[in-house]
Amino acid sequence: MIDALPATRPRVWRLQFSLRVFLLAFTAFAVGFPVWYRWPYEEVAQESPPGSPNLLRRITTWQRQWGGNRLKHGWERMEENGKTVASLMYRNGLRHGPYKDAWVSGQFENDLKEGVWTAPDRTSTWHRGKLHGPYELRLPPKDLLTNEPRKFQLVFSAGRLTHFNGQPAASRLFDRMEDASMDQRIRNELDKLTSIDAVEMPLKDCALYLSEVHGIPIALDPSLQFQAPGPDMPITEEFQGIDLCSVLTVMTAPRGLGCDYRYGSLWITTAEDTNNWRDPTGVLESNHLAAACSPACGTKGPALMFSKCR
Amino acid sequence: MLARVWNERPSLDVFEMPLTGVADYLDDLFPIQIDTSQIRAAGERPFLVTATIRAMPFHHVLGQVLYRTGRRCRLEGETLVILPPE
Repeated sequence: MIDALPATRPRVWRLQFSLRVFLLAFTAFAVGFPVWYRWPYEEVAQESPPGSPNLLRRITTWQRQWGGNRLKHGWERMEENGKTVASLMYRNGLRHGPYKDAWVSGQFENDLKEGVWTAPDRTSTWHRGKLHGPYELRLPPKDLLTNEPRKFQLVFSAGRLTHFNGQPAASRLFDRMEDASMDQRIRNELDKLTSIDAVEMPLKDCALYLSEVHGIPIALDPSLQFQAPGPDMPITEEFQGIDLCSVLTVMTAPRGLGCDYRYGSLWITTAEDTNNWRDPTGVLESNHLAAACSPACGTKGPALMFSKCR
Repeated sequence: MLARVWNERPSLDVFEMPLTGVADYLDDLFPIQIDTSQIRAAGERPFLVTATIRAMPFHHVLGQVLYRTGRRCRLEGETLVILPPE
């Protein structure tokens, strides 16, 4: 007698795959996840205040970093009512690539300006973040009779102004900037871009203006008081987007003046005095004072160069 | 002592003050000796200083004041001696 077979129950489904499929899936994940994780993505931030008729948006491209941080990587754009008004390329958090806004266009390399930058009023040439090459300024006319725009041709070399309208524009200040004696804060400010729009402004007021804008002392040599027109010498200049050191050079050199660094201040004096100056007070050159200074500086011996102490 | 105050940053805001007065002020401000006897003995008319100098190291303040008055200085021991022009 044959017993009846028990009724077959439905088999419980279990996920089953071969080792080959598992290997392929794992490989796909290992390749795909990092690509997805690091793939740049865009983030939109609204910059205009609520209720503003203009919709201003900043669209930034980010890249996730291993460890949880993120860096800008790709285009960053400003859009006004859907129209791009400024764009800048980033690479690994640094500005790297074209920059363009309504006025200015140029190129960055590793966060430093590089190549030709153009704006309606100037064309400048940069190398590794420093002005290097021709720089043309085109300013609106001041003479209403001729109505001709004013052009200034400057030439820079590694951030140093070398020529102004075809004439050599040497400045002792550029040399002093490489001197360890100069206060670091003043050196930093000399490198910063500045702007001045002076019409018949006395020299002393120009110095005071730049001093206040940059927060550094700028002094006029007392001897200028005894030379006409001295501190009241009228200055008519307009500069934008040039470093402070070059602006001071252009303001002083064509007028027989010079700029130096003395006693912790930028010092405007005559060109002749700039070239031949020796400290008459004994403060800067006294070996005795240098020796007195040395313990405070953590250095030894009276033969120490005084400049290292300041 | 002078080495210690060399980089201190005094504020100086004076209007037509004689150099000897400025030296006395700095002398009182810091524990240093400033000898002005040689410029007092010279019997010159007092040279007046007008200056506003802020947050600048002492040696720069000293340099500016001496430069503006045409005087110089020399260190004798721990005493700063202010001298008439050469």
